[in-house]
Amino acid sequence: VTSLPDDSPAPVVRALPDDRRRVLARKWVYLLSLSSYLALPHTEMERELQRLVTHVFDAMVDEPMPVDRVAEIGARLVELHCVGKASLRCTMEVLAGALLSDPEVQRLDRLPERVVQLLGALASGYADAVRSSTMEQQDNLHRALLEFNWESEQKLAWLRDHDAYTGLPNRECFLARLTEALDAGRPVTVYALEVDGFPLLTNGFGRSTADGVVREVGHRLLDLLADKDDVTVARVDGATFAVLTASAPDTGSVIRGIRGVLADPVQVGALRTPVSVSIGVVHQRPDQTDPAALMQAAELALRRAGARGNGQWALYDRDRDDRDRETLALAATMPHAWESGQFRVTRHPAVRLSDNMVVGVEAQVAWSHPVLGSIPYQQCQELAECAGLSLPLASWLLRRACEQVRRSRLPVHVPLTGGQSADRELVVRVRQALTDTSLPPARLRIGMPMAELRADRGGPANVRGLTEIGVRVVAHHVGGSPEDVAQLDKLGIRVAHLGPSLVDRQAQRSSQLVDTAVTGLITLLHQAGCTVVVDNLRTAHQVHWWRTAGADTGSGPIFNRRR
Amino acid sequence: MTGDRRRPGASRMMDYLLGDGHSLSIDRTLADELERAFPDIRTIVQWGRMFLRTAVDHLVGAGVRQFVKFGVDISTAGAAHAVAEAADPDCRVVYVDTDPIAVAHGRLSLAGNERAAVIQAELRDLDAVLGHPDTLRLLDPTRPVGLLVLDVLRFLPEAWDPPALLARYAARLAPGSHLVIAHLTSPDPTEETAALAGVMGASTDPIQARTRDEIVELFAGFELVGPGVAGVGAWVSDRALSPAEQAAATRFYVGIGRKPLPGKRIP
Repeated sequence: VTSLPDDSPAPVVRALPDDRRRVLARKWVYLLSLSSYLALPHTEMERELQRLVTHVFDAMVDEPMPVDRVAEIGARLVELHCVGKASLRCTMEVLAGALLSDPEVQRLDRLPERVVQLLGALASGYADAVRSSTMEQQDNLHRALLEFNWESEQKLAWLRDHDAYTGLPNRECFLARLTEALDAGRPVTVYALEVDGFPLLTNGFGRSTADGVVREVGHRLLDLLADKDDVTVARVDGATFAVLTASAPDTGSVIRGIRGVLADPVQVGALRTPVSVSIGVVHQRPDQTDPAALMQAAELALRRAGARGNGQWALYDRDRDDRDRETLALAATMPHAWESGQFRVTRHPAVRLSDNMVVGVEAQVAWSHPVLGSIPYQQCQELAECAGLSLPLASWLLRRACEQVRRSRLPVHVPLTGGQSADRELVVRVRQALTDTSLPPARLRIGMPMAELRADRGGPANVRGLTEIGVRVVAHHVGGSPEDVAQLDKLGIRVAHLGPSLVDRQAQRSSQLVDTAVTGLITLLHQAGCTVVVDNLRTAHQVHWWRTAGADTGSGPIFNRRR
Repeated sequence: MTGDRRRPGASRMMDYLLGDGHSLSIDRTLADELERAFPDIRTIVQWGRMFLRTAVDHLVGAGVRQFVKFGVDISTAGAAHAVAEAADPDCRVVYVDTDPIAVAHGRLSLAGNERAAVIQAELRDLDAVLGHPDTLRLLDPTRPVGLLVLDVLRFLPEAWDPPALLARYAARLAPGSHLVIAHLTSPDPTEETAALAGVMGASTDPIQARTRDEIVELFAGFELVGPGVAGVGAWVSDRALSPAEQAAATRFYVGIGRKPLPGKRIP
């Protein structure tokens, strides 16, 4: 800020009358305003420049010339934002013209030197002020850039640790907090929660709506748990949250709390939907110190809870989870194994017990695992279910089975799992396999579990659909309750495979009661018009017993070996 | 308009064209290129600043004490908050900008100023602008607001549907609120304005010129006051325009509109 005195009490320069001073200032302002935005409105600017004109003329007659004060006039011009490309030049022209044409000034000694000295001092002051103001402005800009960098880094750090969509900590951050808690030696509990039916929501309403539901669930969890000490709520995956409590909590009250905050439907845009979550819980034991393993345990428990249906919860059980973990690991390799041709169809003869004639073939899938050897049918189907390959596997199996029996005259029987039996596309799959292989429909039998035939899913409808295209359905795992028999009759099913547990139970010869019950069941099924089939026969003794008991057909290792 | 220090920014280019030093060499290079394509740009930027002062004075005269300005002013001379404070120390100003560098800069230079704030938001996001904690702290929604859309180098992109956007502001703001617009104008698309848009395409703030009729359309929710949408010379009365400035002013139209009181229909 310049320190020019506001106004000299009486102008020293008598030669410059007020009206000339005004005209001069007006011209100066006009020229300055052509090349720069001026900091003051026009009339104020004129007043200010009149003042500067007075100072210029005062300095001109002062001896020695007060060059510092003149320099401040230059600096003042910069303050007034006379910083356009032509500002200094027009200032020089206006002032030089006015000074040189003034009669009083003309009388001064060494006039040209004095004018040059004055304008030089003014220009130096102007240049100095421009330099300092530019440097200050550059400083400000760099401070702003540093600030921007700092904010960006903060933002990046936050993004590294958080899920941008819900604002909750992410998996990495959750594991870090879990590690901290474990290091602190406090007993921790980890909850893994998954919004039920997330794929359904995504397919039905679009990704953004489904994400909106997840976000709302996340916020409700946070509202419920955030005010408690030592609790972390994180979004660890698409629809999966994790909660860490490190203060020996009461699991029941946490789960009740979660159910409570999710009791009201979630509103996202036009969609209003009830939500539930499945929950897996693991209480850390003193020997469990690996955060990743703890997290995995919670997620395994979650998967088990999810398998029981929506809104369920399950506590981690170490023994079961070891088995589950193996199964899941195996299932994960299944798609690759399938691609590389490790699956094959095995054929097993069905033998009429009265005369030991082969009357049919059962087609099963087996996995020739390079390390584990042959993985049998039942386990293959379970793994396929885990891997999400169950339905493609059914198509493949049907087609291969039809192909393999095309040249023989025997009927082929393809046993399906519950999920495959209820599949809405089953009739289409079967028809496709028959068309592709030109096998007559009457040669194909589809096996369905009894439970599925009684369930209120797609099973019964598929039986009707298959019957219409001429394919017969046979029942598996028939336990012999009156409901089973009634349902077989209702669906027109004429072949009943007894449940393997019955066969095993009988083989143990534990009780006369089993023998009696089984004999009664066979009689009952015969009365219902059914052929009775017994699977998994291992010994000649078993074959003899079942023949005597009235069973019609048998299959199992003993017949496989004979072939 | 992202925070990218490797690309020129409109607020820093503006500062350079005004003769100040808050710029990086990338900004100055592009501004020089701009000046070659559009030699009147410095004159227009300067008159834009003068119009800002005129408009704020006019609005304060009409009873407006709170302002929302599109684009932060990092230059000290003639910044909206400075001229508003000069007109009435009670005035409040909220700057809206998306460029985080400009936002950081504006916040630094406003540090300690209780009556002005910079918020990082898109002008088209009304809720983000009007619902921002700083906006709620500074502005009284029941009283008129001056919406300032007058940065020469900062334009409302066509994709935002500016007439509809400004009409939504008209609906949200209290009666007596004003809209102030200054805009590069092309009577018909000229080579010059096309070149200008081409140059600014390299910055973080692409622009385009609009015709006078298109500018009038932006005032759909307001009634025009004073000389209406006109060359800047009709609005700024500090002094007469030089012949060169008159030529430049035909490329720069400004206008002020007022949201009528309830019950009064816009013809």
